[in-house]
Amino acid sequence: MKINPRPTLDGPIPGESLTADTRNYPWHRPPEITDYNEGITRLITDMDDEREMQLIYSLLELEVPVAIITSNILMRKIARGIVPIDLGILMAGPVSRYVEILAKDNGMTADMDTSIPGQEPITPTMLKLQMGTVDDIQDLLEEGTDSPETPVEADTTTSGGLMGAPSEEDALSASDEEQAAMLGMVDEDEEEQV
Amino acid sequence: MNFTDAVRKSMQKFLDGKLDLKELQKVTEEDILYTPDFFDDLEEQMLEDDEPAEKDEQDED
Repeated sequence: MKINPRPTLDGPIPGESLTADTRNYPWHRPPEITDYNEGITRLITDMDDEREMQLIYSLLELEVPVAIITSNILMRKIARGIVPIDLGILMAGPVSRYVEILAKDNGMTADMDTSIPGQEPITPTMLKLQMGTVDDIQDLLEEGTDSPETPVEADTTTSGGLMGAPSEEDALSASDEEQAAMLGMVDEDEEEQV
Repeated sequence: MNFTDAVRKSMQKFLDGKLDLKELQKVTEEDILYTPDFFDDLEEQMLEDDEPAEKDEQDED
């Protein structure tokens, strides 16, 4: 075993984790429910609470996917130590189905999309949607064979705007005399007269 | 994979009827009550309950 020559004084004592009270967090304790049927009954009963209903209907009205709503419901139950994580995942299907029924019962449409973002399966329909129809693709290919378009010249006649180039009318240029004076090209005699 | 992704996968399996409820039954030692069929029946029942109420309201108007 490698011994640290410079032990830190503010570090944990070896074996300290074994002496710590693991009852500090609900998920450290044995869960309240470990039975599948009992767990779903409890969740459905809790969802029938008025406050919980308001939250679910609000989320459905905002068109939040049912997967997100289900995940939120389950995560709260897991955090409170009511169900374990693995049972929570198993209960996801029935809970989401119940949310869907609630939505339909209230004339709402539930988004039951279960595809994982970034991992959608590649299908011909998806490709068509992404690339357009076959005719569109052929049109694009035909366009590609034509001679390249001539670049559009920048319109220098128009001006304006805070950052635009000033037009000839707006340009504030000093007269020749003023410029000469600024450059010190004026005769001394003339300066004295002035 | 995060928790929400796991929820999505579980949802998909349940909705497709691919969640192995027989295996689950072995662990729980009870009949699984909340099957896809149970929710289909519940949906039918809940929507049927609403229909007569709506008809009554329309008749009153």
